[in-house]
Amino acid sequence: MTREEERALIERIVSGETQAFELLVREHHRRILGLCLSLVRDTALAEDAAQESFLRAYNALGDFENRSSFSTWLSRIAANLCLELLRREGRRREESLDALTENFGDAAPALPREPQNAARDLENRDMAQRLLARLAPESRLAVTLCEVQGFSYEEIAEVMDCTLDSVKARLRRARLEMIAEMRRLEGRGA
Amino acid sequence: MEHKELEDKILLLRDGRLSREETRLAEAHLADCAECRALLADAEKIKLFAAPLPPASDRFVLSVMSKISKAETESPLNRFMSLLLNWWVPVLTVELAFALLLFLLPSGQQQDVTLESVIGTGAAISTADTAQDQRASYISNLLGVSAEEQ
Repeated sequence: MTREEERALIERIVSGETQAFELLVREHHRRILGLCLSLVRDTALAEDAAQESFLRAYNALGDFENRSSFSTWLSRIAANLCLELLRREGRRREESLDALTENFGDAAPALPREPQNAARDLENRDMAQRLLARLAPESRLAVTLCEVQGFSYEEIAEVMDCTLDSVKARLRRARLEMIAEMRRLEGRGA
Repeated sequence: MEHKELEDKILLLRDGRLSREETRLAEAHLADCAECRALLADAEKIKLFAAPLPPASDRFVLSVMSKISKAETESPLNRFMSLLLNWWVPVLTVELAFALLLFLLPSGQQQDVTLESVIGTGAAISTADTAQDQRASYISNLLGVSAEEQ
């Protein structure tokens, strides 16, 4: 859907054609659900947050000014909702190596060094999510927006309501943190 | 470009955020620096870490639309209740109080009660008429206004 088409659709919805909102939900729900899932890391909670994001967007649609894309605007609503949720419920959990050890056994700090095994382990989605989970929510948000959602730095700055320099710094910090952890789990880091 | 400086820039290089000149310098450095190549390779792996987008879900879409539809059908009632509480109830209360006041007055005096007499201006009360004086006094007392204040 082009931005023009989206704008026309939003005008129809604002003027009372409620059912037209379904097209926007269909267009964006995977992205928003993915974003919420990355942030709250709980399927049921993520779905609730994603649905609530769409409801909030619907209720505030009259205020949408087309300065940004609907996708960016909606992502901002979802991100704020999830961060608010994480803060409120104290769900930020620093999953330590101990937690990984719990799941992977005592061998966790010394994962196989063979390239094939290491690659296989790195592709293990569950483990990957655990690495992402080690990041602070804002860093996780920046990485998700960049790596999964494919947002530009400018769009990330808009969603996160921060400067471009701040986006660069957050992404750099988050990636280096993930790389360090990845190397440690592969047994090739400090 | 120094190694340390490039290390900081390498992620920007990956995202295409370096200028043409910076990109040229970074690529030249990468050709000679195994450490930076490893960092770049690891940065690429991060993409694998990010969960893929979930599949499309009709259930999700229908659930959102159902909630919106529900909220829409409820909202006229909410608007009515809000109007009732914020506007109609205060107005009805004042009117009821006034009606009660009229009801409490002795029946023979009700026809002479005017708004002016109730709010204490006394403009509608003739001082020449003793009966009216009495009624004004009665109303004033009822409203807690002393005779001196009149």
